Order: sequence, then C-alpha cells, then structure tokens
Amino acid sequence: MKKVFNWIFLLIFVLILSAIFFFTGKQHKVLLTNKGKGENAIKTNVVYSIDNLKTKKIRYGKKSAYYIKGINHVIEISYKTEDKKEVKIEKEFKAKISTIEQIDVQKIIRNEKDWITYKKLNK
Amino acid sequence: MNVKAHINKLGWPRIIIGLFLASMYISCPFLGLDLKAALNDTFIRFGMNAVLVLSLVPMIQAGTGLNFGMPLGVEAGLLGATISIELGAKGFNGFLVAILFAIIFGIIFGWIYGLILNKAKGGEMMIATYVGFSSVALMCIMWLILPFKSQDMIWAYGGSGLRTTISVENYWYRILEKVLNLKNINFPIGEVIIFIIFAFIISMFFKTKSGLAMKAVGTNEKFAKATGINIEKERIKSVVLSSMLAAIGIVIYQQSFGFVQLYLAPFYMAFPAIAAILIGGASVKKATILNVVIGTFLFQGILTMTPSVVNGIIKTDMSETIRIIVSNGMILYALTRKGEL
Amino acid sequence: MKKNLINNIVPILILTLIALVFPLSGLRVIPTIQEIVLRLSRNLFLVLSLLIPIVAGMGLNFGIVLGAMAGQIALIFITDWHIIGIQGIFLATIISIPFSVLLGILAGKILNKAKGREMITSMILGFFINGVYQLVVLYGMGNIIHITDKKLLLSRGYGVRNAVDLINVRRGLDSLINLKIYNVEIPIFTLLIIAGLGFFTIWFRKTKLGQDMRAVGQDMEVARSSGINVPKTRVLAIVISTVLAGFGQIIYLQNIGTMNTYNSHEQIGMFSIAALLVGGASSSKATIFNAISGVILFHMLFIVSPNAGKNIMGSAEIGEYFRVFISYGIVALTLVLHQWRRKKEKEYKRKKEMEAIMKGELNEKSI
Repeated sequence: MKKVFNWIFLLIFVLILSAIFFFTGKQHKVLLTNKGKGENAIKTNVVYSIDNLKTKKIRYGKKSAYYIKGINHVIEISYKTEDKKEVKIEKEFKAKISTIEQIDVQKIIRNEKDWITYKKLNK
Repeated sequence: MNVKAHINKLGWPRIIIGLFLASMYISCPFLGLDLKAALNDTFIRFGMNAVLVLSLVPMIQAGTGLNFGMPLGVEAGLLGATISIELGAKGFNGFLVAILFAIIFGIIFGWIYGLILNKAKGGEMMIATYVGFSSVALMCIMWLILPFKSQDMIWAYGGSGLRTTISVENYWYRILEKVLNLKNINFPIGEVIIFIIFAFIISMFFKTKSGLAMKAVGTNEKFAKATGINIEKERIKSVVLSSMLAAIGIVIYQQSFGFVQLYLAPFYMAFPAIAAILIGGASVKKATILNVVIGTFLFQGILTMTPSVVNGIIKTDMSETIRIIVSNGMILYALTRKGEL
Repeated sequence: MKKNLINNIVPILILTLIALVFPLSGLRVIPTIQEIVLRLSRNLFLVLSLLIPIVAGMGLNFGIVLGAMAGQIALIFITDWHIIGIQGIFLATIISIPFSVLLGILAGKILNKAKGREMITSMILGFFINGVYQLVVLYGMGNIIHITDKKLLLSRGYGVRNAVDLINVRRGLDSLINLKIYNVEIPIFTLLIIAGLGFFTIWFRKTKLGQDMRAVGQDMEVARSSGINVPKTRVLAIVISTVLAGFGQIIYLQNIGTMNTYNSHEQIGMFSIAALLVGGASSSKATIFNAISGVILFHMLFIVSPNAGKNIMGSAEIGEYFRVFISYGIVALTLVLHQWRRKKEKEYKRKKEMEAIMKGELNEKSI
C-alpha cells in the first residue's frame, strides 16, 4: 500500500512540476501600439523593454511585437517630453494562456487604466 | 487437425502476408490499377532480386548465420561490373566479363570475410553487419582513387573518381532478355531462367559430399567435428559461396535495373534480402530454395503493390514507411523465435 | 600490465592514429579543444545511457534509438506549445518519460525473446520502430494528433516538417551557466547534469537492483536460482537505458538547435556505440572512463579526418569515408576480439573443470 502511495505522490509531484514548467515557460506574443487619436495623442517616440530584456523603439504611429516567456512581467517605457526631459514609467502585467496581449503605449503615458487588453487566439 | 498442422508449418506471418498481398492484387481493378502491369512489375522485381536472396542460403545452412555482411559480396559484384565497363565489353560478353570478375572478387572478399567470421563464432550476425558497413566505406574510397578511365564512368569535366550512378544502357542493359531475342515481351524470362540455373546448381551442390559436410556443420557442429569434418574450412566455404552468389546477384540486378550504383548504395542492401528469405519461411539455421522463391515473391510483391494500392485508397504515399515496418518486422519475428540458438 | 594493454588496445591504437594524423590536418589546438568540449557536452549523456544494459549482460543497446525517438516526440510537442528556454527542456524531458518507458518495456520484452542475439535484435528493432515513428510523425501528426502551430507541418497539411527549428530551446541548457576559460566556452550546467548521470550510474551499481543486474549479466542461471526475477530485471535495464537516451537526445538536440525530424535519431545508435567501443569498452564490460575517452577519441576522428583527408589525399570526401571505415571497422574489430576472448575464457574454464575432476578421481582412487 505504501508503495502505491509513494508512486501516486510522485505522479502528482511530476504533474504539478510539469504544469509549472508549462506556464512559466510558455511564450506569449505582445503587440504594442504607439498610435493616438485626436488631441489626446502624444506625438513622441517611445523606447521600451519588457522584463529587462533587449530594448526596442516604437516610433509614433507605429506598432511593435515582442515575445515574452512566462506569467508575470514588467514593462518599462521611456520617452522624451517637449522640454527634452526623459520620463520613465514602469507597469506590471500578467500574461494569459492562449491570448495575445495588446499594449497601448499612449494610454500608459496618459496614465489610463485600460492600457492593456487581451485578445483570445482562435485555434 | 490437419489444417492446423499445415498452418503451423506455414507460419502465421507468412499466411498474413500472403493474404495481404492477395488482397492487394484483388483490389486492383476496384482502384483502377492495371492488374496485369502490377503482376508484371512484381515478376520483374522478383527476377532482379532472386539471386541476391539465394546467396543467403549457403551461410544459413552452414550455421554461419544470416548474411548481414552481404554488402561485401555486392561490392565484389560492383567491381566486376565496373571493370567490365572499363574494358569496354558490350552485350552478352560484357555481362559475362562482369560475372567473371564478380566471381573472382567474390571469392577473394568472401575468403577474408570468412576468416574474420571464424574468429567470431556466436556473434556472427553483429560482426557481419559491421564488416559489411566498413567494406562499403572502404570501397567508397576505392571508387574515388582507383584508376578508372572510361568516359562512361568517371565524372565529367575532368573530375576524378567514379560517378555515383553509372548507366549500363550501352553495355548490357536487359541483356538477358535481348540475348534470348525476347526484347518485346515484358516478362523477365531471362532473369527467371538464370535464377533457375543457379538454384539448380546450389541444390545439386548440397547433395554432394562437400555440400553435405557444410550442412552437417550447420545442423550439429559437435557431431560434424566428431565425423572428422573441418568446421573452419566448411564455414569459410559457405561464406565464399554466399559472397560469390551475392556478387553475381548484384550484376543480374544491375542489368535489369539499368544502372550500376556505387558508393553508399550497397550499405543497407542486406536487410531486404534477409527479410525476403525470412518471409519465405527460412530461419536463422535453415533455408531452402522454396523459401527463396516464396519469400522473394511475397516481399517484392508487397514492395510493388503497396505504393499504388495505399495511394489509391487513402491518397497518401506511405510505401517507404510500410516497407520499413514490414521488412524489419519480419526479421524481428525470425530473431525472436525460440530454440534458434 | 600486459592484460591492461590488451584490454585497452583499441583506444591506444586510435590515440596513436590521431596523434599521427592531427598535425597533418592543419587544425589549431584551441578551436579543436572547444569542439571537443562542445561534443562532450552534446554526446556524453547518450553514451552513458548505454552502460546499464551492458552491466545486465544485454550487450550494446542499439535500442537507445527508441529513447531518442521518444525525446524527439517530446520536443515536437513543446515546440508546438511554444514552451521555451529551460522550462521547455525540462518539460520535454518529463514528457519523453512515458514514451520512453513504453518503448523500453516493448524493447525489453522483445530482447528477452532473443537471448543471445540481443545486439542484432535491438538494431533491427531500432529500424522497425523508426518505421512506426514515421507512421506517427509523418502521417499521424497534424491529422489524428492535433498540432496547433501549423508552421511545424509540411505544406500538404499534415506530417511534421523535415527540419524543426528549436530556436526557442536552443542552448537552453547550455547557456544557463557558461564559463569561458582561455577562449573556450564551457557549458557548465550541461556538464553538471552529465556528471550527475555519472554519479547516478555509480550509485546505481551499488543498489540492490544494480547488483541484481550484475548477477544477471554474469550468469543468468545462477541469478535465477538466487531468486532474482531475470526477465523483469533485464526489461528494467532496457527501460532505464531508453529513458536516459530520451534525455540524452534532448540534450543533444538543444545543443545543435535544429532537429532533423527523420534523421537525427538514426545515426545516434551507431555513433554512440562506436564511441563507447573506441573508448575501450566491450559488449560485456564498459566503464564511465570508456565513455568519456571514447567520446573524445571518436569525435577527434570526426574532426580530424576530413581535414587530414583534404591535406593528404586532396579530398575531404576521402577523409570522410575513411572516418566511416575506421569507425565501423573498430566496432567490428572490438566485437571480434570480444567474441574471441569469451571463447578463450570458456575454454580456460572448461580446462580447469576437467583438471579438477581428474584430480578428484585420482584422489578417490588413491584412497
């Protein structure tokens, strides 16, 4: 009996471990846009990096794609204001399975709440 | 009861494969395939491969195991063919010259091979495989450095070394048919006749004193030794005989196929032949001419039919994969039968 | 001393050959050492997975190809699910286990039916399962087995592509901890894992199961009468070897970065076994030292031959064929030597037995 229990525990342990690997190792695609509409638009180029990886630049009016791994992420953007001052903003976000994360950089600058949206992937 | 005994004697795998093959022939008209052409193709392939499969018999009977080192004999045949082309011999003469040199090299290579196998009683099959592989690699070097000059064989534009595939169209392509003036009939009468000749020679050989001695070594080594038979010598004889036949077999194969294939082509050639003879009912220690005939026909039948039939049914070409599964499955079956040590 | 020489004749010969040919190849020392370190980290795990069946008397396990296939199937899945980095590798490792175990049990049972012919049977079994693997991967995947990432499939819509880019897990293991000494990059983490396997092998030999396997390897009848379940022990040996081979193949492929779906596993059996034999092992005795020296020597041959061939004979192709010839020739030679030695040992044992019987009879008569 004890032997059977040992095997079951091992199995459960391995399953949990696998799940951890699966979620922390899954790659996600993040789409970022730097497009703005109307007067709210802040016409500036933004430099960003997620999880302290390689930095990328999004010119105003353009999009960018980024691949990230795992669940918890931190995105840091920096841009120059009109008086040539550099501003850095840091935000945290989670990645979900089978979704593409869409980040609107403009909304981060304006400190709006819905700067990140999730789009479900079709099979 | 009698039926059951018959079934056991034939062996289930054989019956299954036989039925499988028969079903494929039957399904031809339903799939829009030409049955006559299919049967014809099978016979042609039978003619191409029969002597190669026959070459396995001497070694099996002598207890030297399944000849996984057949590539060695094949290389001898390739040397025969290339030398014949180099000498410019055409037509039936060319074919005979090729066979002659094939036999000579078959004896030399077979003798060395036999010596090696004698040092390795009990582990012949494994060692044979690797001897076969290394000989193919060695010959690859030879094809590159031997001083062949025939324009039909060396690389164009001043390259050195022989080409990978050499056409025999101008030399002795399908010479066995042409010689019998049967060019227009598709059925490979020539190849079948030559197979019958060699099969006859082999079966006569095993009725001679020498052949019986060889068979004795294979059946019961201790008994043979007690009767005064020189085990080592008989084993070498069997290896030489097998290698010679393999050399002849590849020449026959090439005249039917139309090309001499050098370099890595002979590498895996032993396996289909071994699968064929095992399908025909042979075991690691016993093989008859009937095994050769049935086995080659069944095996080549499956190889010919499967692509077209499977393609017709599920519209996919699975022939290569099925061939791998069937041929290796047969060899596995034979290797795992009890009491064959 | 003399016995040591005879036992290790093969590695000594190869070492001499390499020492002679290396200066002729025109290769520089540091890049060569880098290559060797690389190849050690890539191949050693697989070679080590061959050790346990040898201990259990089952000869050289060509069935590691089955483990390699299991590892590849696992890699196909994690690539499909987009699991990257070190997590991808660990997940692949875990996924490969059920496949390896199933294949290992199958292989073990078949080998039990072919006692005395294990090596050739495992070789053919490798070919056979390759056919089944093709059936699954070339026809089943994308069809019956659902694949999410269509980029993995052939243009016809099903069947995995010939080359799968493992860029996501590439060097996942290697780059975890990396060290550079004198311009030579050393993948520490991978080497630690290999060392782990080494210690596992040593520890395993001391466990009851390990001892059982040794007993079975030496004499099956004696082991059976000691109460050991011989068939089950043999199957277990193969299962462990297959599982380890699965891991080994994953390590191998993560280093290369690309998987040749239908070819990567085929040569693995022959190369790993040839390497082990070049290191001085035989089909009944192999040590970790054989594995390490074997991989180094075998891959030195790999590296040196084409270049030497080019410089000596003007053709790298000749060098390549020469390497193939030497590798297979070495295996044939080792097998022959081994078989010959076994015969001599049997004769020696028989002679001793006869002498003992004679002495016993004489003693009885004199009484």
